[in-house]
Amino acid sequence: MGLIYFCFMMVGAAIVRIPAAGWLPAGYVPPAQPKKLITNRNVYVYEALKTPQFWLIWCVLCLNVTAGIGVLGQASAMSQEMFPGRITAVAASGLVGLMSLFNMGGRFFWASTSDLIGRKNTYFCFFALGTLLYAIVPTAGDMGSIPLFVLCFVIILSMYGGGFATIPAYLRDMFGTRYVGAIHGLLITSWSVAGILGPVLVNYIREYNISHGVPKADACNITMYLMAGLLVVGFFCNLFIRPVDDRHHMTKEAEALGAAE
Amino acid sequence: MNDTNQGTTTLHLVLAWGFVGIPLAWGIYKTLVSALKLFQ
Repeated sequence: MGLIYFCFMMVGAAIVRIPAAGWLPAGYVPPAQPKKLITNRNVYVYEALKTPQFWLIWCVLCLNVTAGIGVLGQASAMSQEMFPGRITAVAASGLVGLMSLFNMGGRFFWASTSDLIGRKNTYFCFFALGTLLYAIVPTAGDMGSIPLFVLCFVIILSMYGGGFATIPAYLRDMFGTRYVGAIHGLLITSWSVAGILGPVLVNYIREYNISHGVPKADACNITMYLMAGLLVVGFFCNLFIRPVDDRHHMTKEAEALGAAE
Repeated sequence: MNDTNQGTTTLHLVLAWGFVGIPLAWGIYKTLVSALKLFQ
C-alpha cells in the first residue's frame, strides 16, 4: 500500500503546476456584481490569524470533521450493535466502504454545489442537515430500518468529505488567493484536533455508557445526539462569519511590492 | 492566458485519467459489491 501511495503521490507531484498569475480558464467570465463574502483583495498569512473569521472557520471545520470522523471510526461496531444478527461483520465492512465512497463523492458534489450557492450556505446545509440526520439515526435503530440507517450515515459522510473539500474555497473567498495555501496549512490544524476529538469522544462516551449498564444498542444513541449538538454549535460559528475587515487587507503598495518580488 | 498547458495532448489526458480512473473504477465496483451484503 505504501508503495502504491508513493507512486501516485510522485506522479501527482511531477505533473501539478501552479497557474501563472492572472490565469483564468478559457471562456470564464467573472461575475459582474461582486459578492459580499468574496474578496478581491488579499490578507497576509499571519494577519489572517488575527481575524475572527479565521478562528470561526477553524471551528466550523473542526466541528464538521469531529462529527464525521467520530462515526466513521465507529460505524462498523455501531451498525452491528444497533442491528444485532442483521448486520454481520462482513456487511459492516461493506457499510464502511460505502461511507468511504460517499466521503469521496461528497467532495466533488458539495464543493461544486458551493460554487453555485456560496460557501456559507453550503456549510449551513452541512450543519442543519447533519443535525437532523444524526438525530434520526437512533430512530432508524428503533425502527429496525437498515436502509434509513445507511442513508443517514452515507449522507453524513458525504458532508464530512464535502466540508473538507469546500474549506480551501471558503478561505480563498475570505482572505484572497495570494496566501490561501499557507492559511489553509494553518487552518488544517483544526482537522488534526478533530481527528483526536471525534474518535475519543465517540469511544469514551460509548465505553462509559456500556460500563454503566446501558445496552450496547442504546449507547450509540447518546453519541449521536452529542454529535448533533456539536453541529448546532458549528451552525452558529458559520452564522457569525462576516467579510474580513478592511484593516486586515494588504495595502495596494504591499501587494505591488509582493508581486514585483 | 497561461502557457503552462501548451504541452498537454489528448494522449496525456487519456493516460492521466486512465491512471487514476481505472483503479478508481475497480475500487468502486468492489466496494459496491461488498456493500450489497448490507441489504441481503
